[in-house]
Amino acid sequence: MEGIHDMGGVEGYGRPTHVPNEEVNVGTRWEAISGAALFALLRSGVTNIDAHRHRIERLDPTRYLPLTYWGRWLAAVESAMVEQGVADVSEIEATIHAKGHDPADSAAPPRMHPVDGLESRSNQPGFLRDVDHQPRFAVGDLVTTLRHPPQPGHHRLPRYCRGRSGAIVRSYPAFTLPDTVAHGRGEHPTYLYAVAFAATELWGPEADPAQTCHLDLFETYLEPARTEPHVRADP
Amino acid sequence: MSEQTPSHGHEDGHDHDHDHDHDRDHGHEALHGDALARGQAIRAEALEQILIDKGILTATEVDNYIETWNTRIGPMVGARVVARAWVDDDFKARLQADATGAVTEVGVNPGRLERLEVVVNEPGVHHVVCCTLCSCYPWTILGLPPNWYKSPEYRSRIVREPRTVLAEMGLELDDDVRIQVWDSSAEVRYLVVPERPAGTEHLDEDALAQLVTRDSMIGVGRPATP
Repeated sequence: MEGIHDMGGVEGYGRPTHVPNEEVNVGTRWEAISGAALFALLRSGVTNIDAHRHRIERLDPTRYLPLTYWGRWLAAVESAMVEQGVADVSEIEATIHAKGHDPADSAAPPRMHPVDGLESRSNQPGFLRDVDHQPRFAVGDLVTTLRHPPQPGHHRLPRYCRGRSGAIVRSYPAFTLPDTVAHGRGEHPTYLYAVAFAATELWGPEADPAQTCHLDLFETYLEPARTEPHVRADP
Repeated sequence: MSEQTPSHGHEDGHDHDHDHDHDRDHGHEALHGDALARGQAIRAEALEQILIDKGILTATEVDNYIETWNTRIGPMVGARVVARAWVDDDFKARLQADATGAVTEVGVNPGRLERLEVVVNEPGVHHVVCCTLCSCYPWTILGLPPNWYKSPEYRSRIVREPRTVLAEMGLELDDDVRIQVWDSSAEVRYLVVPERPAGTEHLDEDALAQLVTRDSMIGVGRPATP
């Protein structure tokens, strides 16, 4: 999805707020509920991690940025419960009432970009799969990425690497394909590769000549290189 | 029957009131700060109750979640891997060949992380890890991701101007140090093995593990020095 989540290379954001090695904690109970509820929904097959990521992508972009990470998880959990028929909004509000609160004081329900075909995952857990065909590419091969999203909806091909050429530096087994799993359209196990792109290939001739970016890209996102890339295999 | 324009309802006093009630009954769009956090707590507790009532979540799971991620799993897990790699070249070679299997040798359980990869710093080559599409992170090796890792600032800029971002975060790299950014765009997770600090030849593995910082295993910092 061509959403606000696809942040690589977007300009205008400032310095990260960083305290070196600061301890990270689940700070509040509602954040822990968001995390534990997600794991429970995954375990019970109500949703899968790819559909969860897609739900976060589908959040109204004007709501995406103001929400914290856990706030996005909470919104995605509620959306999964409603879309997968665990509860409807009136039941959620009735429960808020029953617990002694006014729904007017609660956060708003998530506002989501619509989607078709989200289904629970009823197959085996995990991501790695054995397949009965050989990978199309090998370490050292030069490849070019698709210029466009591989399909509407969820995928894992960031905008900043599209139509660019690079070198395969690591070759991975077949993984379940997020593009189809997120939409309940099957696992379609697909080989995955770490592809190295020169910064000058991604960002132009003024980019740092000593910088390389690697992305993990599915075989269906790649074609044999159309142009000589600015980087060769550098494992 | 007269034709209704889409704007008709908005001009009608009753519909306006109805819309207002609708917003109120369905939670508050405009909350921010403490009021938003309180509103999210109210909503989360209702969702928790429904999931418990339907047998999807158990009451202890939320407490276990806090216990697991606040105390049991954190950077000290990854530090054991790095310290072993510093003292044992054979282990380091196994780690580079099959990190997911090798980490079990130091008692680390990768859990639902099915493919761990290490990237090893060396003189003149520095690795740094990110996730531009969401916030993918090796939870079972490093614990919860820090807030800056999940921020738009880091996610947008680390792939475009890593040398600048790293300097802002306190890690100055010379212009001739090659920077290798790893954007975790699928289910592989990456662990940086930083360079062993100078002057640590006398330290054993446990003492070395104390020097391995979280930031150094993401690639935005260096290990501590003794």
